Amino acid sequence: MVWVSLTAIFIVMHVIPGDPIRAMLGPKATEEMVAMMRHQLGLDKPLIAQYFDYLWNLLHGDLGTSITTRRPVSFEIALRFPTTLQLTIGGIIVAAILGIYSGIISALHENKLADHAARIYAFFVYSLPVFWLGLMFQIFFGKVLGILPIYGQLDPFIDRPRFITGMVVVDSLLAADLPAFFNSLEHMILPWLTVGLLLSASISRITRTNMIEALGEDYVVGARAKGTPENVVTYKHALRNALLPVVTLIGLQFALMLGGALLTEYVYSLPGMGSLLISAIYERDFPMTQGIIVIFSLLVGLVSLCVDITYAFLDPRIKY
Amino acid sequence: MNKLFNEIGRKFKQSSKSDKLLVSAGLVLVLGMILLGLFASFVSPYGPYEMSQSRLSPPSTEHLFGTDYLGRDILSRMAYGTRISLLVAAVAASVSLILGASLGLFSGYFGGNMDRVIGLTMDALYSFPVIVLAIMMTIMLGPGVTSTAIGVGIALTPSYYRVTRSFVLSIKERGFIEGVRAIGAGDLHIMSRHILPNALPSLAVLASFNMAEGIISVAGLGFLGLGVPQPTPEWGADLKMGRDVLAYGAWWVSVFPGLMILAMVLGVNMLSEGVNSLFKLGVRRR
Amino acid sequence: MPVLEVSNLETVFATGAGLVQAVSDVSFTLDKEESLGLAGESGCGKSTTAMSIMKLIRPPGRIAGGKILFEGEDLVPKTEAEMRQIRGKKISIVFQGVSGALNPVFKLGDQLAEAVLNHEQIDKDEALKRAQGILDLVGIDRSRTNNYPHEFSGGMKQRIMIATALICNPNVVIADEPTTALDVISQGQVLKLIDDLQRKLGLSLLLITHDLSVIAEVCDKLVIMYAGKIAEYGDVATVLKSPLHPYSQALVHAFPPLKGAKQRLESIPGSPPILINPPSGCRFHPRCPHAMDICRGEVPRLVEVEKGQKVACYLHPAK
Repeated sequence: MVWVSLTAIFIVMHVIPGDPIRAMLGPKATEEMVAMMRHQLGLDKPLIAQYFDYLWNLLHGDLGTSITTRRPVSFEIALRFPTTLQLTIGGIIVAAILGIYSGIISALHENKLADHAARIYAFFVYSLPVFWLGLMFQIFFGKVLGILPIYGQLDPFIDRPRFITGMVVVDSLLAADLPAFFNSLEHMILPWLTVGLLLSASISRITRTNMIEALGEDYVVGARAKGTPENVVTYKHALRNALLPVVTLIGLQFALMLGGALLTEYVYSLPGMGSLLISAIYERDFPMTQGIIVIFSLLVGLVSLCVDITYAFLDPRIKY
Repeated sequence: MNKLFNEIGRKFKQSSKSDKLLVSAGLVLVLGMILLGLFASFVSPYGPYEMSQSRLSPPSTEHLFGTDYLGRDILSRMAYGTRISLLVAAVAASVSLILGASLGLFSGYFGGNMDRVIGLTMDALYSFPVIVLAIMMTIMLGPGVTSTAIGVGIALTPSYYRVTRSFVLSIKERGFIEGVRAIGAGDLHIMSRHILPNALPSLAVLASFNMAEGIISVAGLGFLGLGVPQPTPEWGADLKMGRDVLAYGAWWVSVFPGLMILAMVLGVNMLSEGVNSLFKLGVRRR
Repeated sequence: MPVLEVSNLETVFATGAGLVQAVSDVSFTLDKEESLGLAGESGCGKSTTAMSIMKLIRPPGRIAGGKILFEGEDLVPKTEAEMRQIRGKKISIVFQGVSGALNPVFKLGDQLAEAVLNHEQIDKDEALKRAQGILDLVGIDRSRTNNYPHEFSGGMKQRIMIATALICNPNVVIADEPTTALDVISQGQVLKLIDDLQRKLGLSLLLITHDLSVIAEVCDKLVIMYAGKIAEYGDVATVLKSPLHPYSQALVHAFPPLKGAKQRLESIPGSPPILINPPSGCRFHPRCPHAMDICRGEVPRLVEVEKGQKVACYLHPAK
């Protein structure tokens, strides 16, 4: 499956008509320069050879060398990866909290005012373009209210904590560097909210549906017949069953999340893989672009796998 | 045809209040937008490229939405911007519909290794973020409308593929195909006459869901500066412009393009959801 | 004093099409250590009666009238909090085993323990020990407390339901169709278990089923319900040997005898009424072979015809 993705990427990047090399070098490039660059990138070899080189290199973790920085692509990506990871994980947590909570409220007050309000809200949020949302947050919280920072991960006068995971929030906590910790949290609130809000809409919807179904199941009546208090029935019995498909949903929507994360990094100037990709495109850095897209695709595949495993783990009816 | 409208009208009357609301509100928004795009020249007080002396002026009676850094009226640009968004998204959604549905038909009908290969490819594509695919296109073909359309189109194809294929498989399972073949129908005939019409309503709803996705992606690429070239009015590109002038406190340049995108997408989503629920089609969004 | 006394119970459901009168003017008593069978076809209101006693009826349903006296106290006006102390502890209900009254994601032991922990302040380990004890009682291997519901067969799940109902030593046990979804062999086992346990633990049992043969085996008294109302009420032996209400007669004759000459199975023509607008007067009159004019008029009241046998039918006026 992953292999198919990789092949698809290869096909798109090498087979589709269009000349990225010429675009990269600009209109003033001479034939010789183009040919030289092509040779340098190995793009003048027959397609099959290129394909095998591609796969072979990938297996060794070699994603090529960046045109712009002249450093290995894998290195550049590795530098930026933790930032994207931090953004995505935070986003998922925000989405889960918002989405599950509103889904439960909706289900408990089915067809009453709170339910309608929550559903309209979720619908609305789903239609928001994530980049505009980020922009609006920046305007409102950054300019109008002036209470939250809107660019980067840390204020310039604060030193980055020692590199352990590469995620600024985590590292500053681990290093017990409280000023850095709080500062980085401040910086991440808006990006997390931006990324998470979109996902929370789908989570809310699915949680609502599943909770309504769970609350209608016989085991809910059975629990009540045992004298179980109502909130235990809701949060322990029903929720536990309703939550299983949410895990799957997160896996399915992960690709969407990545897209959102990409745009969010751009808006908030966070140094992650997303903004790297965008600058690579501006600079026509072909190997970098290809490399990042490969990593994205691998990431999606990995998350899919993790989600399946987690689901099998959580549902006792599934044997693995 | 008449029977179709009667059927639609009847289903509408019988539907729940929320469904009616969704479809009506969505229809109003979508039609409004389409009209806006068609009659942009009548609605706009100025031309979209028309520069003026009042640069970066806030909303006023002369410029309802204010002006950008070149003095262009934002309201007019928004109206004209409708065209690009609608056009590109519609092209992408429909081309991918044809491609995806055909692949789904053939793949599900004939099965075998072809089915497996195509299926895997579609699954791989499906798992890509739409933006990323569109971005990939821009590096190959250069930024602009074409690459956006192609990128979005490729990203949307798997959804049509899946829906069509599942229709084919469910019909296959009912043993209905053998019966028709027994009276001498050819494969193509079966596919087009018997299978496709069943899938059409769901495909239509899926297309409108994808339209929404397409509009956001087009705007997204414009926002990244990879979409239509300047100075064409496009919501996403204007949003990017808005971001650049944020430092000058010109909030209106950012707010209005976004509102247009929101209104359009909201309308399309409402319409799609409403119709989906109304006809109980059970189409799932991505 | 009877342990459970239901008087003129009315339970209704508000639906879009109208008010469904699921249970109308139902009255019976359950004495200590007695077992009463509640019989009737699907939809006659027997399960609704049981759920009403447990006050587990949720909107759009509600108890519209009547009294439910448990050990002298009326349950109808009690609050949820008060009922929670009674449910599972003083009055328990055994659901159908296959109905999924067990939560699929929790272990057996935990679910049994929950029943105890809801009512008693003991620690988790104690509760688990109690769970094991009760499993012994119903004949399930006590080491299986770590298994999940889907790992048990239908018959075993039914026993688990019985165990859940008994773990807090209730006074009254309501068994709702405990054998209906089981195969014949499991049916026999579960019935025997219920019978033994009732005698051993001195329980007062309310057994709900559509299967008269089950009631014949286990119960002392019998209530036959039709369309939400009681048709006949009396000793099991008397009612089954000489049913008075035309419906009871049809019901009893609908069961083929195991021995004796082969007879044609008699079925009752027509179908039970929809309870939104039940028939006037006696609800059975549209299908009754002995219907008279008076039957269409006023509702026949439940009157004592012989000692210990009550019937609601104009064919049998009061003594």
